[in-house]
Amino acid sequence: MDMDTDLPGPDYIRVLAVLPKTGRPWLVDAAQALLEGRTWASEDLVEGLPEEFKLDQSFCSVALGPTAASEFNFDHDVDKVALASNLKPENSDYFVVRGFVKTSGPQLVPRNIDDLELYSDPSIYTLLTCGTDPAVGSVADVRNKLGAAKLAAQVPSLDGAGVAVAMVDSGIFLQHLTRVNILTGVNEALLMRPRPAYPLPPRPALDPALDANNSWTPPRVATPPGGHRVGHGTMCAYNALSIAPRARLFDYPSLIARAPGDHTVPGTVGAAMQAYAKLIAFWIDNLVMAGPYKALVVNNSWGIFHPCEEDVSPGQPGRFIDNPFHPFHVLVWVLAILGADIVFAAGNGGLPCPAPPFLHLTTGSIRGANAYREVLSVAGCDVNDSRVGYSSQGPAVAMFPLPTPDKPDLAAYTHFLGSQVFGEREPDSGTSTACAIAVGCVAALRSHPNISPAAVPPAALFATLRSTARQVGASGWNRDYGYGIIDPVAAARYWGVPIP
Amino acid sequence: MGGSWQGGSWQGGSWQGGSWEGGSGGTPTFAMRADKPLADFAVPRNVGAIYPDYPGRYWDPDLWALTVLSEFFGPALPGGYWQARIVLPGPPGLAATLVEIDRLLVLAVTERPDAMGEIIQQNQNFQVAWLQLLMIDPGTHPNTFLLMKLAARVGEVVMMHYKRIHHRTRPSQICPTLFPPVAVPGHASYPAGHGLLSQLTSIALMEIVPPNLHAALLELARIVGFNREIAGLHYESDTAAGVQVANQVLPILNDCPSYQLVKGRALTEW
Repeated sequence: MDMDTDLPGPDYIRVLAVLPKTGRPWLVDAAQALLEGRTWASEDLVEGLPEEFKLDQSFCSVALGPTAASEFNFDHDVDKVALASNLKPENSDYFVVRGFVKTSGPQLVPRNIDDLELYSDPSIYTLLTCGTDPAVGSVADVRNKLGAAKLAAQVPSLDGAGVAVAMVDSGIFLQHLTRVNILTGVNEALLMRPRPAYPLPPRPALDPALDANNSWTPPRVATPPGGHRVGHGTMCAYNALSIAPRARLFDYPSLIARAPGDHTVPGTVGAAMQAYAKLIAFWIDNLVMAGPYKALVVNNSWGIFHPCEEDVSPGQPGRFIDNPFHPFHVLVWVLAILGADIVFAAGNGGLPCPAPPFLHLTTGSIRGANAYREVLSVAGCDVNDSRVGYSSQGPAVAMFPLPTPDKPDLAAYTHFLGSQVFGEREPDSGTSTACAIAVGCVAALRSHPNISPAAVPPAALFATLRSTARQVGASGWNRDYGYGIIDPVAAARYWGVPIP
Repeated sequence: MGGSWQGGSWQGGSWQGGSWEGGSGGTPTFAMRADKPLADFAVPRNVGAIYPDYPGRYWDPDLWALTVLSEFFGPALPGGYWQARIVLPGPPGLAATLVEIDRLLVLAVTERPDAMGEIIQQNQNFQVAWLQLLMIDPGTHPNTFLLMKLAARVGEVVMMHYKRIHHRTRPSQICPTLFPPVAVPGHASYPAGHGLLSQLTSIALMEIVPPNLHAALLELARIVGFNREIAGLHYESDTAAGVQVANQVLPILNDCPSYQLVKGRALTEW
């Protein structure tokens, strides 16, 4: 039975492993296979792996650059050209693979096996709520409050044109957004009864909403880019386009990229790592070849519900939820340094009504990648500016030894009528929606030449968004709204866009 | 509980198709009126039915399948005695079990609402899903069907053997609020029966059906096993253990003469 079919046994745990290339030339081909969308599998015994580590060949490998994750320096200034070069598989010295190690149960993964550093690969979930409260307002209110029409009316327009928005989510069903029948090509918006209540703003016929060529179909996923089951990913894509209607979507359905042999439904951090590796390669190509996109914004409406998903015990260095040296952080850091804007939902573990899968653990519910300092972590409020009761509150989990940033960074709107992917009158909810709305704001801003990533790096743009956010509650940062409610018009003015 | 827990009557066991599709149930009866009994009419004797002539197709597959047990659990298999050929580590300890419980709670609130239909449908006689997947029934593929029965009979006994050894607590004994939506079965948790039988059924079928069906068989096995975790009936490690045992059972099954006979015939059906 090969590794593609089952776990080695109940005494094995799935892990990510960081390992040097020395003596393992196959790592380069495996990493290239991931980037090229090839299947990689070695018929022979893969060289250089300890017997206790069972390799998952379907994962391929991810190039990590010149240092191991545990030794990565997140504070150094970098030469971006060298950084991009080091991340190429053929130049990389360290790689990440996935496999299984023998342990006596969850949270007992060893730190090392020989020269392999082991890290947890927990399951990740969409950050939707089970909240039963009805919607408050609609996406029309959200657009009004954020000045979306005002942004789009500028010359040049701040509407997301030329900006790639990567949805690292559960996949997009494009027809729900465009209303164009994928079989006939006919726009059915006017034929539908009842008419779609909140259609997205129209876009030119020759400006497709999805870039299928630059999207990703994980192994074992049956549906193509833009053709996935309608649900969370479609909701998020809708909300990003509601503010930046001419942004172009990249479909990265990591949340349905189930690990082989795994008994769980969702994707894992490993699948997110694959997505980020591909996004880094895409973005480097776009920069080097002067490609068609002027910015890349990454939507991450996912997270970890509860520490029980961790396979590494507290205090151990291989953890994900509170360890800044997890290899996923390296990829996030690299992509941010290269100029991509990475936005995360804060989470739905706030008081007084945390989403049930948080199991009432509301302290430190902004955890893992959602708490990285390079990312914009977004809390949720309704269109009346009231924080939604499930939105995760700060402070985030401590990321020792790095300083713990103020999280959430800011808040954005959620719990309104919009995509209605979950049924008529069902709200778009959760900090998932707030994250996508914030992504729409960032994408709209990035379409203006004054605010290109070259002129305004992600860290500077996020600082502006924090400083221009509309304060609610206590001044400065507070645990509910962060620095306030996102205000893209104020941010655009800050960077010299003369919006009256 | 008990009775037809798994595989007992999932098709062919009782009179016609068992009870897996509902129906009126009960024992079928055939009346003969007292004043003019059918036996009063003189008809030529059907001498073709003289002993020994009980065609194989008359056999109840469930009962025929029982005959493989004496081979599987006997001492005469070429590869050796079955117990020596199966390795199963003990279940995780309490600390790890508590982590698994938390994960089941997360699954209960995130996945159970969507999975309810499958959980209920797969609670008993779940092998009908394999018939549906392969688009077969006892009429179209009698030997393939019989092969599934052989695997089920052996799997059940092996499973109960290990369940008795380990006596692992059901998740809902530790955490009653997991509240499984179907009755908690009357046996211990480790290894998972659904996980074991699903995997065993799939990998046994993979030896006879075309390769293009293999991946679907494994996915079906995975889903059936995982739905029992969503239902709060099994830990993740139970399912993994079931899969591990199933992978070790198949080679032993392949040593059994009855299984070899049925497998040879089943191969001609594909």
